[in-house]
Amino acid sequence: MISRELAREILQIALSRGGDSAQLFFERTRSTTLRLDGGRLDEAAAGVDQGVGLSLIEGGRTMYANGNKLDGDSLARMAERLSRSLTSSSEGPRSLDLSFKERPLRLVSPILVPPATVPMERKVELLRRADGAARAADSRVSQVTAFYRDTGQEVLVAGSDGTWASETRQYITIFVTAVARQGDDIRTGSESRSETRGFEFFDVNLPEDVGAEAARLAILQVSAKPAPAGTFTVVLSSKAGGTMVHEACGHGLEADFIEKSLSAYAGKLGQQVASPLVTVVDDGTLPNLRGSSSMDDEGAPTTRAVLIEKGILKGFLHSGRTARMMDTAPTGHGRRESYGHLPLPRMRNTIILPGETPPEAILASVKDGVFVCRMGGGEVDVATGNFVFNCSEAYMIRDGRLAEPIRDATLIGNGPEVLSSIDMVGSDLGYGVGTCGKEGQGVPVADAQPTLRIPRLTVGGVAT
Amino acid sequence: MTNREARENDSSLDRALAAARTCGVAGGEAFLEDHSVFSVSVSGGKIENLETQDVRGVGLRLFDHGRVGFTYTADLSDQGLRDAVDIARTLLAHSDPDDAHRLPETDFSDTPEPEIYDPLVARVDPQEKIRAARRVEEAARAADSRVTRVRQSKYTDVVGRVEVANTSGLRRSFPFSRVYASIEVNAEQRSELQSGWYSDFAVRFPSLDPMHIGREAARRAVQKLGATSTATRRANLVLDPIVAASLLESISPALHADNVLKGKSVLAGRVGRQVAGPKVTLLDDGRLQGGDHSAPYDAEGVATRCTMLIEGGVLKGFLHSTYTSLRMGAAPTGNAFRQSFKSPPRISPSTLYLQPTGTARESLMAEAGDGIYITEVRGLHTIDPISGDYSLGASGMTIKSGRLDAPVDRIGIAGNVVDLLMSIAGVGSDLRFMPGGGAGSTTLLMDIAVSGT
Repeated sequence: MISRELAREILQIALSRGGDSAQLFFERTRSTTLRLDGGRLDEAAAGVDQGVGLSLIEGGRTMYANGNKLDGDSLARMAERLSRSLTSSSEGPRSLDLSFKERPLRLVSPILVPPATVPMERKVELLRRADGAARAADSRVSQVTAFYRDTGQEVLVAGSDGTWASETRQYITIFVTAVARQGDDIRTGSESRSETRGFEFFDVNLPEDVGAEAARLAILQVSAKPAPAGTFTVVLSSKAGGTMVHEACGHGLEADFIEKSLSAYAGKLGQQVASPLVTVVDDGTLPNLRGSSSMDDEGAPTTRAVLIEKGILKGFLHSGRTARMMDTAPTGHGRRESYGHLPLPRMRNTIILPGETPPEAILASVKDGVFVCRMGGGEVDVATGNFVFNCSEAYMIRDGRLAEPIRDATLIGNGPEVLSSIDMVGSDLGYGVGTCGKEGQGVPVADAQPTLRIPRLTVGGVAT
Repeated sequence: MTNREARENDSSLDRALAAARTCGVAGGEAFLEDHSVFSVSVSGGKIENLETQDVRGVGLRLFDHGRVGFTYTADLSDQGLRDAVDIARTLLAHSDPDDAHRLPETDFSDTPEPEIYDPLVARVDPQEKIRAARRVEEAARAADSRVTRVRQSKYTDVVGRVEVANTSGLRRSFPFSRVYASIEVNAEQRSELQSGWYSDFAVRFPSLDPMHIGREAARRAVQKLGATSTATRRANLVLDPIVAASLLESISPALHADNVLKGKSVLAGRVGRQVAGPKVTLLDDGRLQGGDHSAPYDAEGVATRCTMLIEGGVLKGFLHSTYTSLRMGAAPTGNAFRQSFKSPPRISPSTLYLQPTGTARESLMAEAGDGIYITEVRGLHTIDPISGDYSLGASGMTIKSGRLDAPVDRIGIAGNVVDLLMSIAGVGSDLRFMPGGGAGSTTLLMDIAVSGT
């Protein structure tokens, strides 16, 4: 994407009026998006975005210039302007004795069949298969939308510290929404699968299964009763994925919130912040998971970061900047949506590790409660840890058994309180995928958890 | 933008259109976005981040006998544009034909164009902009001693140009400018932390009021200190203008004609029927002075206008793109927008707002009696536009005999958006425009399910 000579020259210009370090981030992203709606391919989009971001760091501040003019002259102008934005220019022009060292990276997500090599008709065919399976599932299925996306992102990081690191990330996603109608009642069910993998993803993730699952969830919703409102014992099934850990503790462990004491977890390193049954890691090195990659967007290799171990707070998620400010090692969590954004500490694959209780025993232990099988989206207020997330599949529990399905249940609680109150942890583990938003930037993530029991949680429903 | 850059844009648009003309399809449309962003964030008076951005890109749609293909590129070289045309042709070949996929004709509007551009924004000294971010922070800290931390005080401006042209002879372009400032602060009392956020915007730099933004964020954080939950019950709610605006924005997909066509709107088939309280008049206005999304044309080059969606509680119509207006035989509304050059045009509102009913905020509070004043909601993105069901987390203050009483948090409000529209009993005169589009007034809702402990 850029020669080493040009990269050296641009970094040199950026640092010509002072500054501690500078870094170039190049990106070229090709994406194909197909949407089959009501059996018709009604949106087909594909294209190329490319650009560069140049950061200049001076103490605790970052100056960042970015754009998509990639010729040498434009880059030099960008670097020149950036160097002039230093408010207190200290040194005169200094020469940068820079030899790049290619950073060796472990390949985390091998790609067998690059989606760019797959003909368009095969991609469309996948969506028709998903659509057919969803419609065939039940006569009450009235609408199906099937969505396909592949994104290939080539990135290169060149830093004044000698960093030279690059990789190509391949994301692939299938998403199906089914609408079921019964009389006047219309309900939606969705199923999403996504990984960092090539087109071989579909050898395991059959479009038929994705379509049928979306249909099952929609049908379940039309037969479900409105959720009750009040406080209940809640069992979160491993099938629910990890929205809870993502919202209830993941965001609060991002080091930029910690650094400014804006998180409920700030200043609690080494302290008990969760039940002794709870261990939380964020692991960017798990092969092919949606939040995995070989390096982060600052060229740091990804790692498995232990955040909470047996209830004790052990560490945080770092970008290069927060690691430097807090005088610790980067964890490979400096991520950005694109060249147009500054890197921030972000989650990758956030996991509550399994415990020892068989999941059936957890269900059997609850006399009256709510069993959550699938979670939808959520949101957290990092300062207080207060979170909300909704359930797309949930049941009442009576006498240790699943009873009727309920709909429109929202779980409302406080992250640190919920994590401390967990009193049973299952021996199973289930994954979910999503796109996490923070400061206007979306990044691909996954999360996972075993079956968990929370003794008391507010359920926001309509039935009283 | 310099004259040279403007000429470069014209040439990129013309080259893209020329490439579309010669590729053997019936029609084409090129959309060009070119903008520059300046933003600075401060904390403790010190600059944390200073960012500049210059982005240019083209979105291209090809049309042929009801088929359409969309592509985009940030590579505006001749080769980059030729590659883009090839991609769009491949996608077009696989798309399912539909007669209504056509280019819009050039239309005109009698409504004056909104003022959305001030060339001076680009010439304001960066030091002035940094000072604005600092003043927001100082105002927040000075407002209350319990404001102890500032997450980010940020100033951002965007200056740019949008151009769209098609092979039927339509050609529209307009410049725009916006300045924004926002802040998130924490208030602290004993060991309790609460956060408050506020943001505002303007077309011109001098119109931005940094002091107000800082004070308002502080007020919102401090107000939440000491919050407890409330009993599960049904209650009258008074929505803060910000909450009312974001709630409206979240239910707007039910008003998008494409969702209606696909049977994915809770409002489908209800035109002419009562869908909201008799005091409810809902408008979308693309030429409203002061709206963040106000613009003379949409992303297909269709003139924007004021569209009556609900009048006296009766559903009147929907928001349209060229495609949906042709499919439904409805008048165009100029509501096809793009998030960036990378998105095809999609239906979204300009400024969606409830017409004030001529009631002051105080009267609405008095009418609520013993209710809850809602200042924040969480989980808006989980509202289902098809069933209309919602279940949100919320915080605010209890209302006792028409007056604000004590802070509440971790409560749930749930129901169906049609019932919610039906429950609207009054819309205050304090209409406020939101950054990112939308507008809201203090709004009274009667008898809503609230869950707590």
